[in-house]
Amino acid sequence: MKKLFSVMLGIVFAGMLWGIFNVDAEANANQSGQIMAVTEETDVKESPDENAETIVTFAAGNTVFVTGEEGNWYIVFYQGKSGYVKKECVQSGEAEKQDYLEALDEEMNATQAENKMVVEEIERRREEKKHSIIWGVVIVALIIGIFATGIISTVKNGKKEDDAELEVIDLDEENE
Amino acid sequence: MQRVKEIDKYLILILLLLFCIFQYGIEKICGFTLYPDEFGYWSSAANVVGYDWSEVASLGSYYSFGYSLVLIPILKIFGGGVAAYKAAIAVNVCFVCIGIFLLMGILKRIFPHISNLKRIFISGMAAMYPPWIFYMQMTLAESLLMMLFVLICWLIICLIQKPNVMTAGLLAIALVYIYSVHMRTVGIIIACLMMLVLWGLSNPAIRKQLLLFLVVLFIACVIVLVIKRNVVLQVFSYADAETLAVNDYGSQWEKFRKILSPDGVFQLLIAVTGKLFYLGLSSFGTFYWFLWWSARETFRLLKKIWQKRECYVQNFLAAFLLLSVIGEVLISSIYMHGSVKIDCLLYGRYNEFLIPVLMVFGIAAMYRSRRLLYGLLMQAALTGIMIPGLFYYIRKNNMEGIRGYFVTGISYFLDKDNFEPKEYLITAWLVGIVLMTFAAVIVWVSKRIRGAAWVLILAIAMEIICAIRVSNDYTYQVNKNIYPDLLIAETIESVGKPEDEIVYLNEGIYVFVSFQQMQMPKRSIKVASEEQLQQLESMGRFLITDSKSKYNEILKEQYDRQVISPTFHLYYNE
Repeated sequence: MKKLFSVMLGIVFAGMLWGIFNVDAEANANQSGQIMAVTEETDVKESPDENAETIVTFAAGNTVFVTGEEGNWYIVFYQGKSGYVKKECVQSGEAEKQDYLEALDEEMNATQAENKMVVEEIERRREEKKHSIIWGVVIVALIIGIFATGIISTVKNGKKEDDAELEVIDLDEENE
Repeated sequence: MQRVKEIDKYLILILLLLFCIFQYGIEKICGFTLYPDEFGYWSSAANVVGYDWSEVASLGSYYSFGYSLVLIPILKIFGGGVAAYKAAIAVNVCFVCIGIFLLMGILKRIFPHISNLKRIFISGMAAMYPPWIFYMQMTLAESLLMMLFVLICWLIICLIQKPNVMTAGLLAIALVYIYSVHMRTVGIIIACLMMLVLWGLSNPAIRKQLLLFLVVLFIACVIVLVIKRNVVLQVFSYADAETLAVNDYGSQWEKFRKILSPDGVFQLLIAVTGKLFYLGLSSFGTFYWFLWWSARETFRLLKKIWQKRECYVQNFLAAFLLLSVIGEVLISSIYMHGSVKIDCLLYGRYNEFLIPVLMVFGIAAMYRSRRLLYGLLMQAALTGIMIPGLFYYIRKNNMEGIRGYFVTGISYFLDKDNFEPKEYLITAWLVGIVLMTFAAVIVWVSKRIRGAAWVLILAIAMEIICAIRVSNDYTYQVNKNIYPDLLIAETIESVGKPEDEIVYLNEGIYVFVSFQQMQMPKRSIKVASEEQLQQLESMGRFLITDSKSKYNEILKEQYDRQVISPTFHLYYNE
């Protein structure tokens, strides 16, 4: 008798458990909707009324499972219960994903532009250095050329009187 | 004939050398090195061409319009930006070339027996004066001033040797023009008037030319004053009276009153000593040789006038040059009175335009002298004696900091990060002595070997090394940092429409925004104060701030786009 009672209790208990989970799964399996992102802190209400009781508060960035809509409210499913969230506080996950991708694009473009700028600046400095080296060499060559020309000219012309350079003359001392 | 051709070849090579120096630096340069001076000259030119840069121009003081006359055709042709700036530098190079020819002309007239070869190399050495090459690479008035002073000396010689009304008129115009380029050259006008008085005393026959000279001078002065008034009203209309007066005579009377006291006179003497210290060392000692020559010639002039004997043109020219030096050194000493920066005590910039002509006569005096070594030792001793006095003045007035670009001729080894006044002065003196000795040795060798004036090329080479060194430290360094700032103007030009308003947020720190105005000549940048920032909608389509602005974090959130360059941030909405 005692054994029969234990088995029957076990069956009832198992049945209860199965029922609970089965009901939830079935309940969940029947829910369809989409994931959306909360854009600003918002309360999930029991009914589509601002004065209704708050079930839970979501922070910005949280995701919610939206199963329907009613007027200015989205119906959300949370922990087995349905609640209502204002539409303006929630945006489509697709839109968020799109925003994220756009922001990523922008950042990549900005980084690319910065890299391009850095590369251009490096290239410009390289050209500038090359330019300076070339003209620096030309300056040195010119100076050496003038010096060499002078030496050759002096050696060639020797002490010819008609090429003699006169000293700077002080007219006052000359005439005194 | 062959010898003449050989000499022409040296002249061409020296001019080519100048062109190579220009080419060496031009790729490194894109905009202003010195703020706000350079922009002050461009803004007057921009006003004539039809651009409105008045709000940005008013962030700085009034700048004379003389150099702006040279910039007007450049702006007209190139429209502004990097191209216009580089074209202006090319024009500065032309001034140096003209200076070489004029210096040769001066030497020929004063020392007719001097050989062509010597004239070319002495003129070349004077033209390659390192600060002249330094200033040639920026759009400051100094390059033009040096050329104008050489021109004035040449006109004085022509007038005295062959008095005629045309030369007298041209001289008067040149004097007034140099005044319109930089008001501190009033000392030159006074020196010229005094010299002409002496000339008139010695030669009664030229009084008609003198009278015409005075009439033309008076008319030209009136015209310049009228133009100046218009420029202040139109170009610097947004500037307050205090800012305007910084570079004008109005703010100098107070200093003049302070100088008229025993302590004031002592301070003035030390300031004059500082200028003489600088001018001598920066010119490789030739300035001191000139002083000796000009003092002797001026004394002879006065003696001859007293004895009613014939005076030579070199006597008058020497008197004019000596009076110019005295006038300009005094004026710059008075202007710098009360400044706390050490460079203000030495301040080369306001007197350097005299040096090329003085160098020519200094070198000629060195050639004439039989006591080069004695002269060198005297210079070393005298400049050495100046140092304790200068250092005492610096300590007494708590002077600190130095802007090396105002004393370029003695700043080759300036350590900006670990600056010590005593160490700086001693280093400058030692380097100066080395350069003086080098120049003296070169001249001595050139004297010893017949036909060897070309040896002066070594002195010219040393000058080029000094000029490039100081340009590397300042001009090229500044331009390397501002090149990326071109991004700001490029962004505005590519994204904006002609009618878009551009606003610069002025927080009273910097005036670098003039660089951006130069890149966008047809657009007028408005200047807004911090109070106006409360109304963002009044900030125009584009807002420019300094990179160190305290509002950058806030503005980043307010605008769609932010563009960052080393000196500026740009904000705008799509």
